[in-house]
Parts: sequence; structure tokens; C-alpha cells
Amino acid sequence: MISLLQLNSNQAAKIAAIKGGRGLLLRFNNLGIRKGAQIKKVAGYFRGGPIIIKVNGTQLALGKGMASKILVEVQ
Amino acid sequence: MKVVLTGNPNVGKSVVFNRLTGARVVASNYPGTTVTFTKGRMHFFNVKAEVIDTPGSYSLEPSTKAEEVAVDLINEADLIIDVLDATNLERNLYLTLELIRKKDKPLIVVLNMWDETKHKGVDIDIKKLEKFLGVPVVATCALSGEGIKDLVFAINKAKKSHLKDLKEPLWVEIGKIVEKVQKLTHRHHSFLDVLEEISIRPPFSFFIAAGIVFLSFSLVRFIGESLINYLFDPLFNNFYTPVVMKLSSILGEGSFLHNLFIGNLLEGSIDYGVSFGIITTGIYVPLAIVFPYIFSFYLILGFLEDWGYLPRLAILGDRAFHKLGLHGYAIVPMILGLGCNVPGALATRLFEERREKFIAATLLAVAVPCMAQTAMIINLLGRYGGQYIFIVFFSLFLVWFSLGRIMNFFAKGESPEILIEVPPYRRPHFSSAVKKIWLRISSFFKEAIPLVLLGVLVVNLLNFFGIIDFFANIFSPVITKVWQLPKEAIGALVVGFLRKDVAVGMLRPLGLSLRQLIVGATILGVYFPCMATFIVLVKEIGIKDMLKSILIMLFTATIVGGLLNYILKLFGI
Repeated sequence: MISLLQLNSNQAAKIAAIKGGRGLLLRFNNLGIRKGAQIKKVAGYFRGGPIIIKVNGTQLALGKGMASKILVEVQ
Repeated sequence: MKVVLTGNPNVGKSVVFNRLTGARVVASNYPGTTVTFTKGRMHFFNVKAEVIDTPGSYSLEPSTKAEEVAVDLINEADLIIDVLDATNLERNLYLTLELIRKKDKPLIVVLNMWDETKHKGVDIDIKKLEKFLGVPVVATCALSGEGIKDLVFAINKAKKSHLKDLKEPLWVEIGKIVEKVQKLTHRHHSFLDVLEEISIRPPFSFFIAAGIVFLSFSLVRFIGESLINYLFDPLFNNFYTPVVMKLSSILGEGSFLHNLFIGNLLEGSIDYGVSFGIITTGIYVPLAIVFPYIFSFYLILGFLEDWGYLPRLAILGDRAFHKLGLHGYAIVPMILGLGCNVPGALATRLFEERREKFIAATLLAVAVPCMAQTAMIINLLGRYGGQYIFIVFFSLFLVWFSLGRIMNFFAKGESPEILIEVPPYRRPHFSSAVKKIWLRISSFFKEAIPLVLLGVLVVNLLNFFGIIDFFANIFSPVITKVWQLPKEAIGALVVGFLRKDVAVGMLRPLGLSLRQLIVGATILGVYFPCMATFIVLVKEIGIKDMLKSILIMLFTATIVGGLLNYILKLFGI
């Protein structure tokens, strides 16, 4: 299990766990970021920039701190 | 009957609203275009209703003020039209099921962007979905108007869903529904997909962004200037000036009415920049200097918005904005603010935290000049050379960045990170783009021109009654000692509260040196927002934060004016 930050660009993975409070989980859930969801990392910006992922065909951009709370399993 | 449009951000609610009511609200291809509600009336065949457009929301538990507005309005609805992005059924159904479970109201589900499902290889069985949900489901493409008629007819058939006892977590229930009604087929990448990919991956994304931003500004300048030189100036000189000259000879130079309407003549002729009469400068400034730039700015902005580029810029700017205590999406209020600070101020609703709102609002008011002001600065300094225009904007940029860093250092709390949906690129739709620019231009005419005329009137009255002198004497230490401007410059500062464009225009008749013009134009940007922006900001961030913000502005203006004057002097300007 690695964090979203460590995932390579263009790599697909499955969300294994999300560490975070209720508020964050709720916002993630609204956007389809939840345990078990299939994701693909599209791009990662260097030095603290945002991470771009694809979930359910939608592209999302999220901050580095948020991305570090998402743990994924590469298949 | 009260019909409330709701749905996730960027699914096209505002476009559906415009179609239903014939009303016009700004619609764009990025989440968060709508930050407040708009009411409109619809009357089709025998269906009459009040329709309300609301900001997008992912769920019924709001996390921003814009979402709060949406959720409050849902509670007042007699009928809910839930607009979904058909290419993203799974995520969009979450709000639908929440509406069904928590709000016991008649519902219609609209699958918008139906045209895009084909390109994306999404196949949805509408009849099956209707059966599952127990409410009417209509497919539309609101941009082209397809399916809107079906939506209108569905309004009388709307009903409450039978789906009450959803036992499992909503997304599990959604999974079951989606599996049965939707088929996905693989399709080849289109040109837009490829463009999307390369414009979001570093490092190419940065080069592309730099190119797009540079091209956009160049085009705005080019179109604006061409309109002035080849259309408005000739029109004014050939047709308007003779009429005004005739009126001038009727009123008689030197009479009160002549001063008020025509203003001062320069060697017997009118100089629209200096005369300062209501029908000379008062008409020329908004029509022949400001309007061409407003038009060209909104033309280019509209294209970028509809294309879907703004969220990409937000991503690229994210790291820089973090240094200012904001995240990348703050680029939206800032860019809107370059057109007019009012919509920029409203867009601060996209932020959750008070701290973020405060920083964004203050930066917007201090260092983001609106297009009216920009056009006037270009007009004022352009005759001396483009580098002087650059000095003003570069100074404003430095103020913006440094002040942001300082506020980020001192303001308590932390700023949240970016979390946004990045919409796909879409081909701008011609007729919608025309409607949007028309909407923005007409609101400029309705809201700005009366204020410009009022501004010019106020200038004349202040001069006539000698009130300017009164203020000038109070503030003269700062104005004459720190900024080294003549104390009459106070007039521009007073009028700047009404309209910044008129204020910048007031610098010209003062006969200032180039250095004084640069200092004056910069200070007019920084010291205080215009009245319209001020009112909106008080509502958005509260009077207490606004007072703090104003103190920062006045302080910054004093320092920046003095510093700029000093530096320019060093360089011999």
C-alpha cells in the first residue's frame, strides 16, 4: 500500500484506505474518491503542487496534503 | 409554483435555466460559475412557474457558502429539477438519491450533455433509469436546446419517488442502479482528449499556459485598441464632435451649463480627455475608451471559460497561490476581477474559510484593476510609451504578491488545499457565447454608465462648491509630501469611490508630470475599492473584516505611492 503521492503518473490503482476526518471523507465521497474506487493518476506536480487523478471518468485535482491521505494498492 | 434547479457543479444548470426562462445568467465550463441564485419566470404552453437557478452542490451537506445557498433553496422548492451530467452518472446520482431520501418533493431528473455521451461511449437506458428512480427522466443538450421541450412537458408529470427505504450506503445503491442502466464502451481518443492530456502534464502545461495567457492579453489589447482607433475615435470625431460643438456655441463658453455639460474648451475645441463635461468626457470615457476593452476582455474570457481552461490555470498556479494563503482556484475571482471587481468579489464565496476569503477579497480590492481602470491607464500612459503602462501593472503585481505573503504570514489559521473537478474541454458554443458577452456588456451599460455620468457631475459640483479644497487641505500632507502629487489630486481619490475609470481620467487635466501620472494611476488602483465592490465585499466578508481590509489598503497605498515615487525618481523618470 502506497500513498497517492508515490504512485507514478499514468498508473492505475485501487483506493485501499483514506486517512482523514469526517469532513474530508465526505468531500472525497462526493467526488467519488472512496475506498474501493478505481483511480488513475494523470499527473503530479513537483514540489508541493497538486495531483491530478481520474475517477469514474472525471478528472480531479487535489492538494498534496490530501493526496498523502489517500492510500492505494497498485494492481 | 416554485421550481428549483439543482445538481452537481458544472453540469449546465445555468444553461437549462436560460433555456427555460429566457432569462440570462452567465454560464461557463468550470465548476463554481454560479455563486448565488437567480429567479426567473417560465411560461410554456400551459406550464407556468417561477424557476430558480442555484449554485452547484455535490451533496446536501454544504461546505461552502455557495452550496449553503443551494441547499436552502431546495427546502423552499415545490418541484426540484435535478440536472445531471449524463457522462458522469455515478457521481451525479449521489445528490439525486440524497434528494429522494431526505427531501420528500416532486422531482425530475435531467440527463444533460446527452450529446457528449455518444463520443464518450456512455450508453444509458433512460426508461430503465426512470423505473428505478420512480421519477421522470429527460435527456437534454441544453446548449443546443435539444430536449428542453420534453423537460417542460415533464413538469406536469413530476412526482415523488417511491424509493424511500434505501438501506445500504447511497453509493452502494448507486452502484447497483448504474450497473443495470449504463453500458460503457471503449472509444478512441479524440483530438480534444489529447489536448487535455498535454495541457495538464508538467512541464508542457506551463509552456502552454504561458502561451495562452500571453496570447489572451495581447488579443485583448489588440482588439480593444483597434476598436478605439478604427471605430470609436473616427465615429466620435466625425459625427459626435460637430454636434457637441454646436451645442457649445448655443450654451456659450463660460456659462454654468456649458461648464457642466461641455466643460472646458482647449483653444476653442473639445478635448475629450480634459474637458470634463457630462456629454463630452462623461460620454467619451465609457463609450470610446472603456467599452472597447470591456468588449475585447469578455470576448477572450468567454472563450477561455467555455473552452474549460480556467481550472487548468488554477492547477498550474496552485503552488504560487499557496504562498499567499490561497489555493489555485483563487485564480477565478482574480481573473473575473480583471473584468470587474464585483463578480470577482462574489466569487470569493467559493472559499470555505474566513481567512481565505479575507486574503482573496483584500488582494482583489488592492491590486486587481478592473478593465475600466485598465483601459483608462492605457489611455493615460500609452501616449508616453508602453513601458510606463507596464510599470503600473508590474507595481500592482508586486503589491499583490507581497501583500499576499504578508497576510499569509500574519493571518491566523490555515488555508485549505485545492480540491476541484477539472472539466473536459468543450467547443465553445457560438450562440451561447454571444448571449454571454451581450449579458456582460449590457450590465456594464446599465450599471457603469450612470455612475460614470454621476462621477463627472460630482467632479463639477465638487469644484463648483469648493469642497475639493476642503478635502485637499486635510489630506495634503500625504498627497503632496509622500506621493508628491498636487493636492488637487484629492478630487480623483474622492471620485474613485464612485468609478475608478473617471478617477484615472481626472489625472489628465491636472497637468501632471509622467512620474506623477504613474504614481497617481497606481495609487488609484490600491487605496480603496469602488463603491459597487465595497458594498459586495461588506456583504461577503462582513463589516469587521472589511474595516481591517480598508486599513490595509490605505496603509499600502501610502507606502506604495511614496516608494514608487522615490524609485521612479532614482531612475530619472
